[in-house]
Amino acid sequence: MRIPDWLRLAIQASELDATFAAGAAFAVLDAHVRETRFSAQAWRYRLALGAAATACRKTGRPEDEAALRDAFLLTRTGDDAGPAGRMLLGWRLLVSTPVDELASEDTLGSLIEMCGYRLDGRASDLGDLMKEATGIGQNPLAAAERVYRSVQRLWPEYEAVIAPWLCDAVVARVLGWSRAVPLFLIAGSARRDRAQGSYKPDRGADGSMIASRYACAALEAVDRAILLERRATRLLQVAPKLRAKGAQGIVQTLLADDALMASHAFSNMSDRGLRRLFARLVSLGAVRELSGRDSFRIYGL
Amino acid sequence: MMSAQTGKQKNGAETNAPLFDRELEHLPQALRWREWMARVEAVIFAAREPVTRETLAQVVGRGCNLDLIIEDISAELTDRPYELVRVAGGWQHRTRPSLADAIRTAFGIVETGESLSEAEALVLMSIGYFQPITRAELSSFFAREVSRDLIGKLRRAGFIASGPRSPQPGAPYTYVTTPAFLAHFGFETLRDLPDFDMLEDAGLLNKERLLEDIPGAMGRL
Repeated sequence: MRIPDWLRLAIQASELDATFAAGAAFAVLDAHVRETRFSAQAWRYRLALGAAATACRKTGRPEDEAALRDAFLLTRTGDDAGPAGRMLLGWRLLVSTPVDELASEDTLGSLIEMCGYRLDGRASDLGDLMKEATGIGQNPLAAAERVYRSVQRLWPEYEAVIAPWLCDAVVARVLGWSRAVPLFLIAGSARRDRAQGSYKPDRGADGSMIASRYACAALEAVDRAILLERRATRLLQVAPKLRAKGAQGIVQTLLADDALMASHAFSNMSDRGLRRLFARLVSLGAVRELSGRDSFRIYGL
Repeated sequence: MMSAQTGKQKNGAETNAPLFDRELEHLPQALRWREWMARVEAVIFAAREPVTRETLAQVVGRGCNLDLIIEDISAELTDRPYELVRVAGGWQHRTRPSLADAIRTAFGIVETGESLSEAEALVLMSIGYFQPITRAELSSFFAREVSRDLIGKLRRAGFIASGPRSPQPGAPYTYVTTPAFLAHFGFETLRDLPDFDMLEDAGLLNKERLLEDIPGAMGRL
């Protein structure tokens, strides 16, 4: 299901009432979230990458999506992903944790530390805030609005990164999704934030700031879902042709995450075998090389 | 009171941790508060690492405001040679900085294990600002070799750890700072590093740009 042209044009031109636009876009997005999808997790993790990149920019870190992907994939178990890599881990937590557990003290404590903020015993307060916001009714925008304003008022240092994460979590909860979708930070914010220089909190903005963000984000997320699903379908079409042992496991991994490294430890395949498999997948148009490098290559849908 | 509680605990199958009276409801308000202060300070005193709010919350009543407790303890310590300091997301006892010389004199050079030369401190701070960063990148910052020994020393002191590997030939390790680094220098988060915001506004936190524009930029420091 595509975004209807009238809605796309209206959102891009900011012609509609923001709440109405967000509602219409959410309806389309909701359909995508609910259909069983091959690329559902790859899609969420890729959105998480985009959100983490925006979060880095908002907090003055220089890393872009490619650098974040490197930090994540090149960190060995037991090593530290660094401040930017941890930011990505925080956003991946939004996707990897079942929606029911997003408001738990453990999840929120990890999030705050991963994003490089002081904990100060606020994890349980944030959880209460989320539960209160999702308790007020069936309106995802109202829930997001409530969480965002409360964080802005109580803990302004959390506004740039933590508040958007919490908003996405309560939106998923109100809409009854089993896994959240990173939305708040992905929409057109790249351009706007760059134009404004470093992040300025929109303190004076009214409720329409959140509604129009979600309208744009839902539009963008649906477009990406359609694109990734097309690529996933292509990958599954060529999958039966792959005779290499272990190839099917790699196909599943590609569908379940943003990207993986050719040197990723797959127990049953040699490095050379893996490289050949990925070369074949690229030539069949089923996956893309994402790093643009000759070595330490990264593949994904 | 104690024995009655112990008895209850034996009967109740659901609790296996020893019963600890957090609320202290049998005490008058003032005594209760004093006991909570004593507990919090004792826990911080006994700990080797900064103690988090979560840890402290276990020994005081549910409705107890920890910030006020800490404030009251700090007020009592104003005339003492040590104080409560917030570091790395928790609280710790610290001797007052003005007494550092006295302590160093008394113990001779006991601190050599952790005391850093100016060059080492400079490398450490650079890692703090530009992490994750490789030894080769640090060397081109300083326009001279940053030795393996120096990195090894910072690592042994617990200030840095291995980060992601760098996607360059040989996949060298990058280095990142640890929570112990923050604790030792009295920062709560990386954003508390001096002039972090200033560097950020000037676009100087971007190590790639810095290396491109002014190789050896830090050489003269």
